[in-house]
Amino acid sequence: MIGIVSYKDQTKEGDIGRLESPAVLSVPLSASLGKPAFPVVEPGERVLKNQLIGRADGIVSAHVHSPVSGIVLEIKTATNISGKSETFIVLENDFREEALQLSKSDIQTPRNFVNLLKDAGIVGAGGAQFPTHVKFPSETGKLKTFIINGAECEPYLTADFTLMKNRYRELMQVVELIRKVYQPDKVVLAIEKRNKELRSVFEPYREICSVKLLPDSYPQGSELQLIHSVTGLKLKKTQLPISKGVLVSNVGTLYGIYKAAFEGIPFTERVVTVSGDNLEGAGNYWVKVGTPVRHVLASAGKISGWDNCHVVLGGPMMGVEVHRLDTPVSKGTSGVLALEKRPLEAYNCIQCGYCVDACPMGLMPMQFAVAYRENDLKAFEEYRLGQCIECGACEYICPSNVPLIDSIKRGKQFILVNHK
Amino acid sequence: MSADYRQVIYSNPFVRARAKVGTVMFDVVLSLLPILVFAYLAAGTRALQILGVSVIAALVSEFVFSWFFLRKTNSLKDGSALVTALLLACTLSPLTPWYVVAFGASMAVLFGKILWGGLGRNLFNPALVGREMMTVFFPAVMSSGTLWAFQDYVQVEDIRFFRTIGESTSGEYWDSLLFKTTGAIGEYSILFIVLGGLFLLLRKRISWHIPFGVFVVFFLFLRLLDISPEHYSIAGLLFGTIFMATDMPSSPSTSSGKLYYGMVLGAVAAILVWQQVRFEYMSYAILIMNGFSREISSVFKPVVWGEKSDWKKITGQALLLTLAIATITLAVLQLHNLKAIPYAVYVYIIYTIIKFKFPIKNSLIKKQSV
Repeated sequence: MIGIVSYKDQTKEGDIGRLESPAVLSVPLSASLGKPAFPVVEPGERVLKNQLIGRADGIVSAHVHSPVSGIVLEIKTATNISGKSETFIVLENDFREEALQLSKSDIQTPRNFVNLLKDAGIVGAGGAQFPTHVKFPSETGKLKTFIINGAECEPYLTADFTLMKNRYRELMQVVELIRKVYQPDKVVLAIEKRNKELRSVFEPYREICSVKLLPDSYPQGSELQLIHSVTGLKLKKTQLPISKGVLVSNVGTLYGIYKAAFEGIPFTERVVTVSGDNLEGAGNYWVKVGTPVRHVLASAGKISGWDNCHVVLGGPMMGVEVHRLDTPVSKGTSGVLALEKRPLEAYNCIQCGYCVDACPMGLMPMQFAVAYRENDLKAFEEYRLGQCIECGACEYICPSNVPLIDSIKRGKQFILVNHK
Repeated sequence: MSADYRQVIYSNPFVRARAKVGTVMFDVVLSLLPILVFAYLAAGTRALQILGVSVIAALVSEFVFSWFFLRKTNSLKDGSALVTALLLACTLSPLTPWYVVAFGASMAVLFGKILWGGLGRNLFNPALVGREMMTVFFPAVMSSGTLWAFQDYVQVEDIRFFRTIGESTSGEYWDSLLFKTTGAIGEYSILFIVLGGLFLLLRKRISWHIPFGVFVVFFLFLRLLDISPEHYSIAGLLFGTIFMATDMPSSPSTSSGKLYYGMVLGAVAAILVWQQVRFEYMSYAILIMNGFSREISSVFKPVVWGEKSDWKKITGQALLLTLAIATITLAVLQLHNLKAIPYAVYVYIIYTIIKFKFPIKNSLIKKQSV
């Protein structure tokens, strides 16, 4: 792991702002690697806020709800930011905010709890968007250590930090609920040293949730590294944490659970850090899922000068650049960043080994660039490409600007294609 | 699927560390600066002339050859030619004729780097390649008995620093570490060689593994083989270990690989000293090890997260590797004793030219850099 830049100060202060609702939203139906949700509304149909518009289809899939009341304009398929084709439900907002609520039930058992997560369409808010109801066990006794991931190791992002600072009561209500339902041995809130001021915030709750300070290194918030830092367990990438009694949830996910369990509101809105280089109005905002990036940046104060910016969804280390500003915010979008384009000069790899030292997974990233250049399937496997978590630490530290992540991503596709 | 690796593809990450290749090279130059000041004190303008000729020849060669062979006109910017030039000059006597220096610096760049495909792709340390070419093509000059007699140029005979601030016996010893007027241009201040190394260590331009491995094993072998100190030069050993053996492109890239590399390097150097190789033991040892560094990296991989190393496999591969290195060392020793090292250099020259003209993809080349 490595120390990296922070750029968090510009958004750390203040409460979470609220963006105006956009007039048109396109709500994505796919979440993680699982199957996308199946649309259950027709174009022209009127929908209410919080109404189910996409039904989970398959095991690793999550429900999708309408963030506003309005009319379904169309159900369109377009290429998403990762280059895959994806279905969106396009909604016209009528600004009446006529809302439904989830049916309230008293949550006593793990089965109730998992059903609530499923009904509310909760997915991992850290970025991976893995359906949360799949992660939580549906019986007691399995969950021993519940870790709340407050390690927001990506530069610029402070969405989780603001939630912890301003919505700690709500978060602790969820902790109490999980304690009641699962009776874990311990609940740990893992935060980074740079946010140690939060310790006093959670001091009153030390009986139900202990705070663990972690080093400010990258990628501390990655699940495997986080579990190791908190429990000392080194899990393999293929091992499910719950098999060792461990479960990790992101702060944003936890807040989503709060909304569902205590307010009856499904996952239709999230905190997004809007930040970047010389961006006016940088801060944290409640943003409805499906809001176009253009609307987010414009409402936050900056509207011109795109040409010289990478607009990135997520953090600058693992985030994806969007080339069309009508790309919507998804349940996993933790940040919308406008980052100044800087000229990059590529040199040959000089074998410095910085990437090897930086790799949290113990790999030799520079070998992937060679393997990709030479289409060497065997080398990809010899150097264990499958273990890579694509955190970007290697390319961050590379003094030669070797396109390591690009080689890694393409290399994974290359392997997929060649194994068929 | 093919990609042009000259072209940077904009993908994540969108933030990057500030240190680039130029920064790394600049740090090496910074760490050498005090050593160059002592070179002036010891050999006056002769030392500066050597340094100047070496730098100019290397920069001009870099520009011309890199344009001619690689069609690149911006390679001076990475600073590696400057570093090669300074390192080469540091291994030379202040009395080396200027045209021999110019030849060496130029060959260092051409056969040490450009013909391999430019910075990072070279298997051997360019400065040492240049140095070997000088010994082979100018044998009379390089082994002349008067080459190292530069007393007439000495500016400052002696620096009384520790003797002034402390007592005289230990002060004298420390002053000899601070400054002495014998040896090659880079070897006049042991203290500042070490300080330069510490600076590079702090800046993470070198790691402790290689120097540590070299010193521990070298001195262990000295005791085992009962070698007396007049057979080697501490300053030369330190300079070679800190500035040459740690050269990024020609040394392994993993921590355990670096440790192994350093240790075996120390052993090879000690064995060469033991076998009466007088001046070239450090160059030979480093060049021999350079040839194996890519293999070492692939044998000594880091431990994958959550998994255990296959020690049986690694031990087996390491044994084979050690055996191969031992064989090559014996071969080099034989060539040295038969005065046949020039033939090895000729073979190297022909090999690099053929490799440049007809790139073959074999397993060795595959493990090379990007």
